[in-house]
Amino acid sequence: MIRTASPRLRTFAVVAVLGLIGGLAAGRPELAALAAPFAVLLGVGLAVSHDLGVTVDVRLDRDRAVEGEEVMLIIAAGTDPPASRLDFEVDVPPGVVIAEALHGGGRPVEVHDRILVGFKSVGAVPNRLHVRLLCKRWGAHRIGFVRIRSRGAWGLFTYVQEIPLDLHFKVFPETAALRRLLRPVETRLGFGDRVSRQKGEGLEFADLRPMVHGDDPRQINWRVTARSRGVWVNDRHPERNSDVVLLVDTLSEPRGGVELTLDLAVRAAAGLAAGHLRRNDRVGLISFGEPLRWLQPGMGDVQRYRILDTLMESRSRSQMYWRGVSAVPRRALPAKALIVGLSPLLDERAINAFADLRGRGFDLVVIEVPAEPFVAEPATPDEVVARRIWILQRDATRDRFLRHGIAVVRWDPEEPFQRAIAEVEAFRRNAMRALA
Amino acid sequence: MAFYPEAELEAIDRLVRVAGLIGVALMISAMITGAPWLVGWATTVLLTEYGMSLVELPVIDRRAPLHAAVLFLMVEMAYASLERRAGVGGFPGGPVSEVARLAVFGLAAFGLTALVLLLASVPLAHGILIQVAGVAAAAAVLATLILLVRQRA
Repeated sequence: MIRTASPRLRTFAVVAVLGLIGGLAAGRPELAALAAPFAVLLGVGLAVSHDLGVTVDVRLDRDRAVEGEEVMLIIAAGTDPPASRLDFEVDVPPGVVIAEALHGGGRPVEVHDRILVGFKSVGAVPNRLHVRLLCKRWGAHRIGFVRIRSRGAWGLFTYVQEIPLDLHFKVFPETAALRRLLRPVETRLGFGDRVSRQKGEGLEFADLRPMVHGDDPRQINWRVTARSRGVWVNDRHPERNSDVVLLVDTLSEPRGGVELTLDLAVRAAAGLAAGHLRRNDRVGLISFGEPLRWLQPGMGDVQRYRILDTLMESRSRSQMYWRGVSAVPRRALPAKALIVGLSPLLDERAINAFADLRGRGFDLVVIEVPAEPFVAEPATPDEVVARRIWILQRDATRDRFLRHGIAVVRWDPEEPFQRAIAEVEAFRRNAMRALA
Repeated sequence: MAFYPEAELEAIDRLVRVAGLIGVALMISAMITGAPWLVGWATTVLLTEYGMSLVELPVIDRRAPLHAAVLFLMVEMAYASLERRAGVGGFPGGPVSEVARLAVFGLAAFGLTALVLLLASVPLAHGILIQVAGVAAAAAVLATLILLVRQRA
């Protein structure tokens, strides 16, 4: 460990030197006597001080957790010669806090923010310190170092060593289970939980028609056949799955406190992905920013973790360079996919991209993560006017989308996400009825 | 001319007071700002103030051990407070052991200073030889300290 002189050592040295020299020069023994305790402590402290070797092993008990869960950081440290006490400064990433730190025996260690004070080292045999890290925010986190500090005898020296680490762990957003999901207009050919509008083999009754050659005799509706001429068979709606593409807008993000619109959008996207994948839908993801990232629609738990991993890397960056939605390959945006946009509708590029997708005939839904709560309240009359204009512009954007048949729903973060889904469904039902 | 020594003493007395005030102000500043280097300056100024106050005394100051103990405890407590505030671990043990440690240090400082003063007040013959021995001893102490600091730091 690197040994540095503490401010105490310098003060003691100055007092000892001044006292002795001053006493000699002035012929006053009191000054030399006054300096004596400082000189003695300095001499003894220097004589007994020694180098301190430390061995440290740091690891995490797991590399994945969900928001609100805890990850255990285990620090095994030994010193040679034994140190009465070690302090650790852990490079805790933002969004993670130290909940508690315990010795191997269960005795708590004092925690000051990210500094753990008072770890007892028993010598060369490593003693364990269990640090409970509470994951408060989703993200791909990294612990970059652990800084160890110790003080020498009499507090004259400070020993410091920084142990570089590269411990990664991912915290997935906590997702609310959605009982009802968005219903895509079109379905795919794959088997799923969704009743298709097409007619074919399935469970749900669709229509009656005269039997033709090749029809399955088990589909004959005997009751209708007995009352009419000819043989009638039942048509049914097959159970199919759909393609759902989640489009998370990371182009703009109004910051305000800890809660961010991107946080909310990521949580909502994770919830939607989990819900649709449970229903055997294929789910894809487009992180709508720069760099533009996409995941082709897929099924199953593997796809769920792919989506979560990609969401973890969502960061809002203010970029001027913008390739547009045309850069997304065709296979990432299947023709009959339902596209769910999660956006604060702040960036004109995102707004234009939504309009572009709708223009190409995609089934599009926009769930607006409101930006207003994250914007500072206007303080001056000019700011009040500017705020009103801004709100009017946002209303105009929403109206523009609604006129084009795009369901735009504001999700109030205070309300459950399920409510926003219900509003979207209600809008789409009404739109369908109007079209019919 | 008869008033001159008295006027000179008054000026020194004023200087002592000013130095004392500066020392205390520096210590308070150190505590407020959390700057450890200010503690060193405050201690130096207070030591200088004590040295100046001795000019007025024709005999050995019998309160020197008390001064030493108080100065020593003040420095220790200031550093302990700043270290605690900075999140740097103090000495091992809880508050009780911290108080006990300070008490032992204060008593030791008092006793050591008293012992040095007692030895200094013993009248010895061979004046010039004793002076030379004293200077040599002080130089040896300083040299040892400097050597230790250079080796260890």
